[in-house]
Amino acid sequence: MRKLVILIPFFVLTTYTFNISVYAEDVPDSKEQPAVAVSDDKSLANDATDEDEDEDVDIDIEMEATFVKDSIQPLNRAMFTFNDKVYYWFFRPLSKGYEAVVPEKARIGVRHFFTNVRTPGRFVNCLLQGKFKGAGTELLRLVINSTIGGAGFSDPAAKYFKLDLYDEDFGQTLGRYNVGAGTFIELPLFGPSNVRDGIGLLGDIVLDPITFLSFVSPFLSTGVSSYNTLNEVSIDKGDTYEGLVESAIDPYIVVQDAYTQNRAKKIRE
Amino acid sequence: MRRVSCLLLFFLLLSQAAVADVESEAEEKLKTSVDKVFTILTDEEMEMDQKKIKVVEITNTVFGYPLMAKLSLGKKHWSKFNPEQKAEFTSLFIKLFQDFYVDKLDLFSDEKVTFQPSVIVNKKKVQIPTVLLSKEKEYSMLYKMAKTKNGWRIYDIEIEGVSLIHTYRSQYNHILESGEIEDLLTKMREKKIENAKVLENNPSS
Repeated sequence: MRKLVILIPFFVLTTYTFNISVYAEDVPDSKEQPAVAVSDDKSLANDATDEDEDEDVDIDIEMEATFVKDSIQPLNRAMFTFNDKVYYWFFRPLSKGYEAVVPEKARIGVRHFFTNVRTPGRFVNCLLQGKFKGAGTELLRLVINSTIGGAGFSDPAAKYFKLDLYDEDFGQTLGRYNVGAGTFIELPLFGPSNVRDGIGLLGDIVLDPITFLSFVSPFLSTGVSSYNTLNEVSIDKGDTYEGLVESAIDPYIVVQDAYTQNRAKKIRE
Repeated sequence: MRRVSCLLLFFLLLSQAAVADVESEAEEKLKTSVDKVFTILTDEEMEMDQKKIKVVEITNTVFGYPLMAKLSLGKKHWSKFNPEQKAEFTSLFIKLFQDFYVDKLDLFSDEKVTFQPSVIVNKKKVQIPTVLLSKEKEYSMLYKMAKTKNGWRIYDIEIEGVSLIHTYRSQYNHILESGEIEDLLTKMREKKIENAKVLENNPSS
């Protein structure tokens, strides 16, 4: 039930924003979405004024066209604030307590366990993208880590067999087939996303074994998911999110930009 | 026995020289800096405050701050700044950038960096991919270096595909598209004061 409650606004958001993004295609890029449109700088060498020491350095920043469409920015910003509060008021204090009680080794084990459990999604998406080596690797990893790795709590596959994780999801698969990102969406609790990855997320949820726990009890699957998030935050010590947000003049834009860049890289690979 | 060890030593020296030859100047510079920083961070005797000062000293010689500042604005906006604004922007940028990573130094624990073969883009630009191993998880970090008048300098770092300079640029552009140069500078000044306050309130352990 809880899961459903979480999912409802998500569905509404997705369909709503999808419509907007469809309409937005017709609108010429206006000043309203200037967020990250900077890729037109072919070479910054010319901009070097005379007093600059680097005037002879021909440097362009190698940036893909990371133009971020942000049609519902006010709504996104509100949701960003909400998520930020959830993080600082809920996950962060909880993770500090958790960190103090559970040793790091155990927490890393839990991370490995969840990664192992979530093999189906990666496997299927490797196949969908024609990455047969990746699919094979994921299968092998599952076999090795579930057995020698002690039910997935450690990762001997990477450590001893050099079988590294293939981190694929539905959003990446869609991107692989040239589905555009659509407008940026800040999802409640799930964080930054866009139309493409939001739709992808639905597929990921379907293939996530943790979802099946909701047949036992909806609280169970939500609880387990939250626990996984908590565990991740505790290992990371909040470094990634806090580092990004606290150093920023405009945290929302930074998270949006970092998300977009990171997804672009994942799709490329 | 002695001869064998002599030979071995000689061989070691030789092989090291051979490696140095292949390595580009940029790579060597980056490696030594990274090594130095890691030595300081893993030094258990040193106080955190002292570590931070030392790390800033080292990074000052390897980051190409003026270039980074300029790139973080982008050509279009940089040319609109007058000399005083450029100077203030650059110094604010440097301060904010340093605050950003100095603050995170206490989080360092058992990280390891492996260097991968560098990509020479052209004779003044090189990209050095590295892998950061942290808590049994690998992160790709790409150092982008340029040959400036002062030698090779880092002008951008890409972590898991996220270019730091790009994240700065998107913020600055966002502000400049809807506001004036002065608005941006004001926001940066405020951030600088805010950072100083945070440091004051929780002095580093």
